[in-house]
Order: sequence, then structure tokens, then C-alpha cells
Amino acid sequence: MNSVNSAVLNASTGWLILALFSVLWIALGWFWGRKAKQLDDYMLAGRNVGLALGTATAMATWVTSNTTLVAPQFALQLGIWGMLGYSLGSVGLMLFAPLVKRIRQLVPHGYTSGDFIRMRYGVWTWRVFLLISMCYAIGWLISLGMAGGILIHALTGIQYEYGMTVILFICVSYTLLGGLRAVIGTDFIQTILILIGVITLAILTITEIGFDKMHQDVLAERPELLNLLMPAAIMFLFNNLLFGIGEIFHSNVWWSRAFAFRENVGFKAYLIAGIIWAPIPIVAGFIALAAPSLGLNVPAADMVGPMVAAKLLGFTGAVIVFIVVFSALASSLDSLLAATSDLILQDIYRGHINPSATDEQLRIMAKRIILLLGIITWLICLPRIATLGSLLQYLGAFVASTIWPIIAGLYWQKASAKGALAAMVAGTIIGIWAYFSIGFYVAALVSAAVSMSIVLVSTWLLPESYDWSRLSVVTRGDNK
Amino acid sequence: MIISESVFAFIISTALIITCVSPIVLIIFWLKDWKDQNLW
Repeated sequence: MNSVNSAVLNASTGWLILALFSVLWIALGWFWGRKAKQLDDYMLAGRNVGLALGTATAMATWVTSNTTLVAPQFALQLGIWGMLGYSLGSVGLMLFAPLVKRIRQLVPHGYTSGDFIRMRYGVWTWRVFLLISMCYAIGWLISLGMAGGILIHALTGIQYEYGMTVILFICVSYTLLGGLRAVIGTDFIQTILILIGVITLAILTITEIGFDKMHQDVLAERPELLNLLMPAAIMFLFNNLLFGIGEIFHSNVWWSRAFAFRENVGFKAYLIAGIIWAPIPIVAGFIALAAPSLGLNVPAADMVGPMVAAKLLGFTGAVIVFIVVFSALASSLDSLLAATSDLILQDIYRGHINPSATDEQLRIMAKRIILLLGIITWLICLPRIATLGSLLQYLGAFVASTIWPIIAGLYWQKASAKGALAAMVAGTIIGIWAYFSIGFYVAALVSAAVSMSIVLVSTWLLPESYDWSRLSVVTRGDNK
Repeated sequence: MIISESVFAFIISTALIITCVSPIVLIIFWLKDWKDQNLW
């Protein structure tokens, strides 16, 4: 799959688009980074992000290359439920909205998700949480870096190593220059590009083929895709829902935004982002169902979207797909680089290595960490080990184990540190066992169920009485 | 249980309409924040 034979653009056009966006994103990163004099400006965009940029960054970060390419793949493999199941990923964003409000109330001066876990549950739960978070963040970074190289190669024929290097270089450069401000600013433009791209492709697919012909041809060739009782698709739906909630609830990508948004913006921004995100997998995915009408022979399921676009629109369609995929990749990669560097800076460097570091030292260290993360990701992605690409599949068990400890920690005074620790450890271990014993579609489900049971039982049997006011004093210097 | 053409068209059309409104909403938010100097 993804061979040069599936390329829908020539390499010269690919290089031209890459060069144009490299210049644009890096220049904007430099421009927005000029004013970031303080650490808060660099790490959290001054804690003053408004509704427009807040909504767009939450939405763009959740639109990854997967959303734009795997949604059509799922439509082709799992039919209607594939698209609808994928769109349930938006539930995580919407459910996080009230949590953001609570987080800002309880931890107004926090920096990372680790700050909350450390102060709420103590050092050992914090360390286990950090391990889960770092496994997930590095796994996602590698997955995105590899996806960048593979997709650029598949769409343009540009060699994997070059494509992967260019996308990492661009994202590291502008994140390094402008910090979270550059990430959020570029996310707004990338959101608009993604939305215009998928709308254009969807409208042209409908006007060129029409719902009636599309429905008739799918019904004739692949009727199971229109079946509402397709069992595998329904299992996928629930697993995807829990994986999504776990990813958002624990990851510092989303917590750092909770701290970066202006007060009273977080709830609205996440809720609206969820509503805006929900239809994207459907709009981006349904064009795959045009494949039977177009008589397309699809060699690799994840290339069905670009192939339909290129068949319907020729060169213009291929360029639109390339820009959408490139924007989706960059908007997630930059956010992950910034949020992971914050986590390493605040929870590992500041928390474990140099607790007395000054703001200036932390600012310099933040840049070094972004650069180092970029280099490590590049080195791991370079050999293109196929199994690494599926790394993210295992992580459903990890992230789903954090859902209940986080919810209980935010809302239940009686939730205990020992219960949270046991829930994360047991949830992860049993979730991984389920992954290998039963299948990928139950890992997150089992992990969340085990974790929930432990949190509920431990809160009932070993209740604690947590003083919420302890959270309000979290600052960079408070690492006990 | 196969979905009919009209349900199929309804699902896709609803999703498309929400997606079409989204960039307009974001740009209106941006203009309002920019006017109030609340972008960031």
C-alpha cells in the first residue's frame, strides 16, 4: 500500500506546496513568537486565548490525518457506522467542556495535567500518570511523524524520508519560534483550510454523482455498508468513543489549552469545537462510498479518499486533498510537540530535576525540549518500522484507565489516591490483556470498566476527605 | 436493516450543512474577538 503508484500529484507540485506552507507557517511562528517574553506567554499563550482561536485550536488538533484519511477508509470498510462511529470522537471534546470549567476553578494557576494529578493524588499516582501520558504522547508523535512521511509519499511520490523530515522540520520550527501562540494561531488558519477543503470535495461528489446513484451502486456492490446492524461496526463505535474520551481527558494537549484559554472561554470553546468536529468524519468519509459509482479499484483502503477526489476533480482535487491532509497533520503535530514539551518541562525537569529553575532557565529549556523531541521523533521514524505505526492501537488501554481517576479527582472529595493509582495500573494491565486475548476493539472498553470499578469501590471503602483549596495554590514552584 | 436512500441523503446533508456553517461561525467569532481586542 501507499506506493508511488497511488500518487495523485506529481512530486514537483508536492514540493511546491510544501515549500509554500513551510514559509507561511515558520514566518507566522516567528511573528507571533516575538511577543512571548514571559514563560506564560510561551507555554500558555499568556493564558488569554479568546473564543475564536480557542474553538479553532480544539477542533483542528482533534482533526488529524486519521480523520481525513481513515474516515473514508472506515466508510469503505464499515459503512455508515464507520463514519458515525468515528464522529463519536466529538463526544470526548464535548464532555471535556464542563471539566475545563472545573479545572479552571480548582487549579487556576496550573500548567499541566500532571500538576493536577500530583496535588490531588500525590507523587506515586503522578508518576504512573506521567508514564501513561508520556507513552501516549511519544506514541502519537511517532504515529504522526510516520503518517506524515507515508502520506506525502502516497499522495505525491516524494520519498518517505524526505516527506517525514520536512513535516517534522516545519512543525518543530514554528513551535520552537512561537510556542503555544504559534500553535494556536496556525491552528485557526489550518481549521479554515480543512473545512473549506472537505466541503468542496463533498459538494462536488454530491453534484457529480448524486445520492441516488451512490446509494444504488453501494447497495448493488456492497450492501453490508448500508446495514445498520453490522456487528463489527457497532463494537468499533463503543471502543472509539471510550478511546477518544480517554485521549482527551488525560492528555496535556487538552489540559494546556484549558489553562491557556481566557476565563469563561474553555467551556464554550470545547463544546462548539465538538459540535463542529462531529460532522467532519461523515463529510470527509462518505466520499469513499462514491468508489463503486466511479468504478474505482482501490489498492489501499486508506487511499480511497484521495483517489475519489482525484478521479472527480483531477489535479485540483488532488491539490485540495494534499492541503487538507497537510493541515490536519501539522495542526496535531504542533499541538503535541508543545504540550509534551510542557509536560516534560514542568513535571519531569521542574518536578524531578531542577525544582528551583528560574523563568528564564525554563524558557530556554522549553525550546531545547521541543528540539530534542523533534530529533527523537525523527530518529525513531526514520527506519519506518511498520509495527511502530500501529503503536497507537495499544494505547487505548493506557488512556482509558485514566478517565475515572480524573473525573473522580475533579468532582469527588472522597476519591482516594490509592484507588486512583490501582485503577490506572489495573485498568492498563487488564486492558492490554484484553487487546491480545480478545481484540483491539475491546482494549479501551475493558480498561475503562476495570478502572471505573476500582475507583467506585475504593471511594466507597477507603474514602478520603480532600481539601479542594490545596489545588488553588499550584504554581511552578510547588512540586511537593 | 438497510438504510434507505432518503435516510442516507439526510445523514450526509445534515453533516454537510453543519460543516458549511462552521467556518462562517469561526470567522464571526474571530471578527468579534478582534473588534473587542480579545483574540489573545
